[in-house]
Amino acid sequence: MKISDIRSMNRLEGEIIGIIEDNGLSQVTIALGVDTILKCLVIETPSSAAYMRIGTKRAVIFKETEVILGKGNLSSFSLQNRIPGTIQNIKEGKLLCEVAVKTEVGLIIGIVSIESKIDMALIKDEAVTVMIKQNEIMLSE
Amino acid sequence: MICLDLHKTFKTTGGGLTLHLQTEVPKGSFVTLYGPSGAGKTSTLRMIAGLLKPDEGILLVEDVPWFDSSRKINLRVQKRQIGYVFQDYALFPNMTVRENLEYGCPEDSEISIDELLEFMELGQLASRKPQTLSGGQQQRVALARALAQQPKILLLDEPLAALDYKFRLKLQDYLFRIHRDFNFTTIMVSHDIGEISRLSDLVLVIEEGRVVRQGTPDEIFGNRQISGKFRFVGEVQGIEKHDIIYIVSVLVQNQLIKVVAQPSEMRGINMGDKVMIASKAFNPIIYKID
Repeated sequence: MKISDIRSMNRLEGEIIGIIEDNGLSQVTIALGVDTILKCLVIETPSSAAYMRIGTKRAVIFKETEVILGKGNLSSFSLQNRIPGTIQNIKEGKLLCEVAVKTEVGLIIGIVSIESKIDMALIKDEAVTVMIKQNEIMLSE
Repeated sequence: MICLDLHKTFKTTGGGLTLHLQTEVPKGSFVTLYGPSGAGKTSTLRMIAGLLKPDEGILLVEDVPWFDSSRKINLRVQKRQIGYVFQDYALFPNMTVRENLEYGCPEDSEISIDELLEFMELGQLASRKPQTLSGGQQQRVALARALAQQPKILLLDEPLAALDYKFRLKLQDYLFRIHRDFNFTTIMVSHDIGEISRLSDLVLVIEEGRVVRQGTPDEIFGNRQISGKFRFVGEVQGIEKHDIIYIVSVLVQNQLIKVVAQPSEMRGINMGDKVMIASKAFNPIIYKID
């Protein structure tokens, strides 16, 4: 099976529009939609990996358990990767719940604790912001 | 360069298998034949060794025909300059380690038995009989015996499959050193992706008697398709449903690790399946152990 066949994890297609490199480490900026860009940190540079070129199509993938959901005023926060959306569905377990968020760039799944869901009063059709740290995002074909 | 274009049809009660292998192996490379059981991997080794006669085709080793059906050339096993190592060692039980090596060593050999014993760290075992040795030691003797023949091609048929993990890693080191220090081509049959990735330059994926894909281990096993630097191949040992997630136990070499997975992630993954685990290099912590 190829990585591109994987249905798991949040997987969004995009195009590399910026690379800043520093000693083997790069910050890659990927445009996913009209208004959505994500930045990720990878241990690759344009000289070590052929795909690290501006204009290359690449998918970003990140684990559902690494997704952070925010609501309301999020002005002061150390998380740059933010995608606005609305909650489409919530599947509840005993400790955790799976929140499906509809965004400009597709459905993003986040797994948060039931306590967070209750504290934040997350409900269907509500506006939320999906956040993901740069170092949690992988690039894939 | 080894050029292969060999045909062989096997008739079995359940149907049959037509082997048609066409490939080129660069001299000095370490090639692994990978694929399901019954695909024709061992038969390929046996045809190269001269233990199994192809129906037709050609086998050229450094421009010398070892087999050419159109010219009725079929070099005898003894003339083929191969070393062949089997999973079950196949040592002579009545001979000592030294005698086993001497048996395989040509009189005009450039390498002495003492040098081989030293290289394979078998000096202290030289006068022992095979049955008094561990599996790992016996396989080292089998490798040394294959080297004594100064082969152009070293054929390894799942050489480490019968060994436990500790010996397997150690033997992999020997295989790596042997291949690096002796100038021959190695062709190995293996199912162990970790072993293949560690040792091989080229992987030929064989299915139903044909090479269906070939490439470096990274290309074949998908290691480069994802940027995560924390990557392991393992085997699923347990799948437990917890709440809305799964906890999957995966055996990576001799360590059992656990991975949290989504139901969608687990679709099509069953117990015993080989899987790739990938994560960012930013997540793990590291600390020294005594």
